Amino acid sequence: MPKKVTPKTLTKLPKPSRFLLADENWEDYEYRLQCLVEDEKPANVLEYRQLELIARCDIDIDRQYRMISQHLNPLGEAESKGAEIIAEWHRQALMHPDAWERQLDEEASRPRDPVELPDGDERLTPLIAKRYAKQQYLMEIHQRELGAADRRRRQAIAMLFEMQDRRRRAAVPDAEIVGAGDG
Amino acid sequence: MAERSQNARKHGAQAEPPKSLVLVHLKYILGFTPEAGDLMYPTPKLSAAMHLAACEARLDQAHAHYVEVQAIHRHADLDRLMDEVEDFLYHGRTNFGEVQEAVSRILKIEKVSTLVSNREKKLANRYLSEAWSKRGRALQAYIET
Repeated sequence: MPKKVTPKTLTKLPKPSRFLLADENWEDYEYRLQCLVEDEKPANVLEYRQLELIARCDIDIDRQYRMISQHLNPLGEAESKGAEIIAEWHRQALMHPDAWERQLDEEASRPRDPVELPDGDERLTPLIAKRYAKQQYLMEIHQRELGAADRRRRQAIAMLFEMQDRRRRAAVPDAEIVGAGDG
Repeated sequence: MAERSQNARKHGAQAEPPKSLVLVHLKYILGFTPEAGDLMYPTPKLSAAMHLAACEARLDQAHAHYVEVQAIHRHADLDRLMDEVEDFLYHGRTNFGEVQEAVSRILKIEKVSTLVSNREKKLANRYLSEAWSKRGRALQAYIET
């Protein structure tokens, strides 16, 4: 007698956290999935799996937008570690050794302020444009991945609709030819 | 080059997914645990389900790798190398020529570090796209059997 799949056995599939980054939480993923389940009402595991993939694509799309905005944030991380190292070395070469030691101590004791995304300040547009131009190659990658995630999402939705159509068609009984021999 | 791609197939993102994961997917698709004997001589339906399960497991693997790579903007080994050159700048008794050389090397490593991580992102995206389309075809075949 084959063993039936229960919710307990289904949880042995990879955890959703494997498909999330550190700044994303699985509760958000679960919520999205739940909303999709409520909307589409999957009738079997294959349809449910399709909804999981759609939810993953949604998260992928959000992630790409978030990364693009982080890379373009003029108050964000340093553009280049190499440039930072060289600038720091030049600063040290120009400073008095005592002043340098003091600065190192101060930096070690002072925690870094969290960088906040600027909100609707038009004066930052030139800085953002400059950052965009400098990181054009990286932007291209993120935009291409955004497009790819969007395409995957559309394909997954189309496939889900096809599966639902097939299921509905299968439920309709075939027409019978009545009185074909009566001439 | 061919050796490198073989290596990726054995150990990297394109490695064969673990059999246990494929079996879990198969169980998930069929709704029951198939008997070992059925797996030896599968019906067309079971054969399609087995192929779909393998594709699902590969898709999960490729997606996990894709997500992991998204957070990496630099190559860790090259960053360590850059730190070593920085140490040389601070602690070595350097003359002007050596400083110039160190600075130019830091900038070169910087460029390569970003290039390598971007290349890994592109590769991960390609692996995911391949796994996605294979899984789509396998699903279509399973539904049609």
